[in-house]
Amino acid sequence: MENIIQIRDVTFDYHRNSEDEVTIRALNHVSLDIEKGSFTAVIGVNGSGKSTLAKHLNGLVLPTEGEVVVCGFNTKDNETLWEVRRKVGMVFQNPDNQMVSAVVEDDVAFGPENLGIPPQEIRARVDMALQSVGMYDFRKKAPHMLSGGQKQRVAIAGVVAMLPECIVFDEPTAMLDPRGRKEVLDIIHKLNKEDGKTIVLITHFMDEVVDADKVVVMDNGHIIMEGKPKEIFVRNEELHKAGLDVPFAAELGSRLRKRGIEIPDNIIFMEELADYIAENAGSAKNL
Amino acid sequence: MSINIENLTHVYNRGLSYETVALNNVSFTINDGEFVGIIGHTGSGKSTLIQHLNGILKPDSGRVVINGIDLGSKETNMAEMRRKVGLVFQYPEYQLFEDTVAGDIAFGPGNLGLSPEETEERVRNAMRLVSLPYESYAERSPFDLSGGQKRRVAIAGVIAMNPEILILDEPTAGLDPRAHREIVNMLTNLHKNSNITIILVSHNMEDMAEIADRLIVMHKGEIFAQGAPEEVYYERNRLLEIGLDVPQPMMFMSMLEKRGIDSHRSILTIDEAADEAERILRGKI
Repeated sequence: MENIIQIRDVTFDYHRNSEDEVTIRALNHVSLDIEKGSFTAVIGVNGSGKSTLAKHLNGLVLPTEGEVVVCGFNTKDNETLWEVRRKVGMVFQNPDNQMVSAVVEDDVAFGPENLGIPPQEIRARVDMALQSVGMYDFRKKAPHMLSGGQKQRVAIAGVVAMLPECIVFDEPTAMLDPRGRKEVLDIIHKLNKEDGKTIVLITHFMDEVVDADKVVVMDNGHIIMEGKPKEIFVRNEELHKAGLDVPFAAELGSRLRKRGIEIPDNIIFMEELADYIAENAGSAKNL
Repeated sequence: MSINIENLTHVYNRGLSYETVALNNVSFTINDGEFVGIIGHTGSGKSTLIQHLNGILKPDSGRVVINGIDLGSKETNMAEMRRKVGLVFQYPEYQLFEDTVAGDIAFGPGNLGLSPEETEERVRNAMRLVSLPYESYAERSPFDLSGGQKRRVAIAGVIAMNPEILILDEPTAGLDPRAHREIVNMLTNLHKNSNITIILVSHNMEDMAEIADRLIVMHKGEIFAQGAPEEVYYERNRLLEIGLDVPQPMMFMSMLEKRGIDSHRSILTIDEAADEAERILRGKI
């Protein structure tokens, strides 16, 4: 499978403020490949380097050492930086900080307008983008009259209208209520499955991670684990050590194993665990 | 301190085409020292409700009575009542501004005209209650702390006012799992080690199941359900119908039920779920 983004041995140092001589290392020799069309989830506590990594993916931040290559373009190359930004869109935590217009459809048109695209084409893109996030009926509304989840969907439409190949979401549901979270997650999965967009999702919610193709766990500027959700969530003690939780079913399974009961360690979905318990009721296998 | 809400109604934009009834004839009582959780969707009336409890909003009709004092009465000293009812808004750490943790927490009590000794005593006590040891944190800059610690400093600033009622609006929003746990443990300890009445507004059903004595569920400006967490979550289908979540252990039990396993229904924590799963697997039904 083709890699849309290659992160090669990236280190990123910064100064806390201009007078400060001491540098802080936010990323420490990080390498990661993002496959075209894949869904990658990145988890880690605050300060682990997740957001810094995300900002490297479209050249918002450039590596101190190492390189990031997006669709063959090195993000350090100024000449092609706009190409990189067009390929990789970003959606951030707070939808209110991402709105620029007083009407939903104008907001979505803002990005393509800046690319100098002809008006008819912009119209088509805006309609397509609003339809793809289920907000077409709200196109004439004012963003401040929308719910948090709806605003975030409009922000996503603004990125979709740029026709990116990859969209990076940096904690897109952190400020939303459960209904808003679900709306936004459904859209993210649809963009991946139906529209073939490559997705990178940074999140603190472990239940948002179980459906990903790959999970990347960050701690203290390093990638400490990388693999399929089922491979990652069996390592619950290491995850707890990194300040993270595991999904409910994985945690319950591990507690039952500690009580001496055999539970397959690749169970991470509640439905799977319920199936297993129903099938094995009254016939517990001891470890 | 006890709270009595009697037939409280609040309407936004009355008389305009987009008039909204945010609270519709709501009545309930909260007892002294109780830990009450309020749940409901955005727009269900939760925020409007808590803003009535220290007089930020005034009722259109009905009464808010705190320890026998009617907040709507002209004789009521509102400054005094606002001191007794501490309100922690969402993302309270955005309101930190002092150079040191102790300085930030001391800002409120300092404005009450207390002596420096008394203020320091308040700061020490508040820091103890939010589990930030005075010796290690008092002189640090709040801006160098982690997200969870910053938020606890902000909460300590409200506690230092010696409120008798503490209201927190989504105190764990946006935190990572570790910081989230810090806040939940802090609230549990605060409830255990003080007699402050605590009102927690949250979308996190697992937290509510773990720490609240009683839940009030708001829906479309009315009280949809109330009672102990096990009673409220027992009617999980009603909650799911209005689009609210139930705690994951409860959700799991309902999946087992669908598979023909009749299970003990009031399972709120993962430990209880593990007990129940063990019992089922070992066949001790």
